[in-house]
Amino acid sequence: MKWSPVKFNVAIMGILAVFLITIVANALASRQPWVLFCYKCKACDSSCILGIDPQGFVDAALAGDPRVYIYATNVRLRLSKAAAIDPNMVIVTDGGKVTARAALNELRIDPATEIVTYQVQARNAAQFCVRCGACERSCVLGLPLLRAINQLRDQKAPEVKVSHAQ
Amino acid sequence: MLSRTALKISFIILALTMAAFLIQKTLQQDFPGNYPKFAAPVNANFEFAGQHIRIGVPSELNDLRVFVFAYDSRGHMQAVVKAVEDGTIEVSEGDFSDIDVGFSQGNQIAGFEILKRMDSYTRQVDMAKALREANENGRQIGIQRCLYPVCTRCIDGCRSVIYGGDLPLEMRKSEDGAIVPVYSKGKCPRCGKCFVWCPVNVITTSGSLVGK
Amino acid sequence: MSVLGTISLLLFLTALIAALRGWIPQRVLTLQSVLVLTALVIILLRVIFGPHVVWAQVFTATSLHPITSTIAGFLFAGALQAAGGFQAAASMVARVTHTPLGLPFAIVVLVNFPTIFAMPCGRILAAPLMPLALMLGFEIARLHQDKTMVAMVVFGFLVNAGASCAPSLIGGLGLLGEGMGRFPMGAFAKPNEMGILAITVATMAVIRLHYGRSLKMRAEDMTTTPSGTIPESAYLSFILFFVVLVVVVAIRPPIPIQTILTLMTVVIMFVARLSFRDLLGGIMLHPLSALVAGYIVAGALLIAGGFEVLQAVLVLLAEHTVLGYIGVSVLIVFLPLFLAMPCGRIISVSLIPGVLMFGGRVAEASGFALAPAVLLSSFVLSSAASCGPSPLGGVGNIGEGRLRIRGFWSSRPQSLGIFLGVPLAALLVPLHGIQPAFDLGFSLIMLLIGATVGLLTNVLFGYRFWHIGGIAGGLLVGGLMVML
Repeated sequence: MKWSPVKFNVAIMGILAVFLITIVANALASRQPWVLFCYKCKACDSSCILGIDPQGFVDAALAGDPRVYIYATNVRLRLSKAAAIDPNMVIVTDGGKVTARAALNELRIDPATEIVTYQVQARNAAQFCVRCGACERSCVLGLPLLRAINQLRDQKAPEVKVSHAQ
Repeated sequence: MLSRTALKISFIILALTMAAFLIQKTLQQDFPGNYPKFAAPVNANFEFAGQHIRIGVPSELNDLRVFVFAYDSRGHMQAVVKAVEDGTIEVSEGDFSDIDVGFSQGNQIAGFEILKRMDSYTRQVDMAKALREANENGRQIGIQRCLYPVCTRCIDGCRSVIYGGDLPLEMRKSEDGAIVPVYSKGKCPRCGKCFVWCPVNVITTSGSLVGK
Repeated sequence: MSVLGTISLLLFLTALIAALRGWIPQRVLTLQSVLVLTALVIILLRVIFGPHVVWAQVFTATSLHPITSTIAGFLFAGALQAAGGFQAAASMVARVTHTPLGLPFAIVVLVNFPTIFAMPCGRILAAPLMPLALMLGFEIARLHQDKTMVAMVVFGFLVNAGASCAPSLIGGLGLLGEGMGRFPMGAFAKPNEMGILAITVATMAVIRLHYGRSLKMRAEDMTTTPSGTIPESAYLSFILFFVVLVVVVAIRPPIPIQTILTLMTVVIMFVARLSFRDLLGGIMLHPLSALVAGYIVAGALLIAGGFEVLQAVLVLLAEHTVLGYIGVSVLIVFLPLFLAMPCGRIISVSLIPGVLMFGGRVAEASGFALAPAVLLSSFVLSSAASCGPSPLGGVGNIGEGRLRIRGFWSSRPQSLGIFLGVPLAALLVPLHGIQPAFDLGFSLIMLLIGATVGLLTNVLFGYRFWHIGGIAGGLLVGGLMVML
């Protein structure tokens, strides 16, 4: 078949359209269509005591995957537990930001040490969340962020219980 | 005459709006019409040893996140959010305060500031040091299960049914220094929102229409 | 610093430069195609050489908000155009220009309009007000026999629109900085508004003084001479637009601005009896598709660790070169200009943690406690404004399309304008403080800056610097910014 730049460029436009449609479909499939309206302004970010970026829950719905990594910069837990939940979770150590796996296996940090998280999967962040609703109150559009958090919590729980017991 | 296409588009927009509304609409939440009941203050046992402070708490708090607090010389509460594991909480040097709470006259909360931004602090208050200093100087230290003033779910619920500022539920500093919910039974409309929405089970249902 | 991240970043920069320099001809591969192919190559490299990854992370770099804002803005512009709203506006502007205030007044107010009524995305106002900017631009160009003036008005207006999401309190990029940095909401808004005034006038100045010489414009004169009777519905449409803007900015309702804009479009359709076809006239696909392609490549860079490499390079430069933390801080503020993305949010989310860290180090080194605030507010402004010069479907592309000039021509003057204007915002942060409250002294400074901008606009458009129109326009702009 003869190479045609026009056809090729049109095909690329098709990829762009599919990309956008996928995002919209993900939002609808997650039964949280309101995430399509999020300004991503992060006004909610400043209100979370656990340093969780609530907009990350919106990202998870748009991406259609609760495993996307989001900021959670102030969750304290034992290293062993962090590694059990998700070895690829990014944590803060004296040497900088590393994965929980690297902290255990390469840096040889005591598993009983309490660490502070930096980036975790959205579904784990939802489990850590204390559901105080501060993010909802600070949202300029009043988006129902707790709805997305509760939905993520209700999905298959990680193997280790880390939740705010309810 | 109104263009046919315009009319069609308007109907489509209207239909889409309604569909979006219906998709979003969850079932009406059912609030039990009972009086609330409040959890007892947490009995905590502080052990100051070396660089670490071990705090023994009832095992019913396991897996919960609570505030460990200490009052500073200005009368402000410094608190750090800690998870309870196996009935203990450990505070070590280098654990910085997450929140600074100021009080006005009458033990009412005047305001608060979250001290951590991303991976740095606007102000570093070492909690181990703050706990030791408060303990040595006779200032209050303790565990607060309620996450007020960060969490205001009960007050939000109350405010959604009571118009005006005279709420049956308010937050005050108790004698042991923890912030606790206080309510006036006579004003309470028994809507049940406070205990349904409380995420930490500090407020639960009394299971009673007369408030036992 | 990962090898994969470094390769990805270099690949992206090479592809971008190749597309912009014409090494890859646009008639063979469009910019969008180059970006998508680059993203695919980066993703492929990630599959072959990278460790575990959550693929859906690619989507998280995407922000639908600027896309929907652009579509809503274009549809609304189409409705306004078909309803004769611009003819009505042109007739109102003509009345103003026949007063002693003249064209300088209209130009100062129009080019700064997006920042006065700051929306969460500059495209919301850029699209519907573009015909007015074109009209005024051609009018003044005809008067002075200088086509450069069209570009001055259009790109002054567009850079202002692009940057205007920084001070917007209804979900703008400024809130992103304030949220992540835990500063009070609106802490940087006023200094940033003043910075944008400076950016706008600086962009117009550099076009006039230097870049105008290389301008080759193929667009016809678009002066709209109001002819015949303008229907009442045309005035009604434009007034509705204006009133809704004022209400939205003043009361900040918790409704997405796109919804409001779409509802207004429907109302105008009813009022002026328009068909759906009428709305489509204003739609431009290039900025939209480039925006989406930009998000895809940003998502690919995100999973490949490209942004982490960028941050690591900055830390290396700060620790091992003479630049130090202060030197690199200046570099980091203008980094969004070197890597101008279609929406400043892409780079902001990735780099703000680094900005805060640098701010902290500068504060320690200099003893200047407000250093993190100054650095962050400057970064946010530069980041927001960077969507003006971005060749990846930035706001500037709308102007290039309408004026039919070479793609990305406006990138350099806009970048230089931003480079000159951002320091003013940085200087004003310590004066304003980080608690947003009414301050008489600062309000007077804002009025003074407004008047100065008016004076400079007078000079740039060939009027005597004391022309009342420019000064009054500048004072009005400053006054509205104080109030709103």
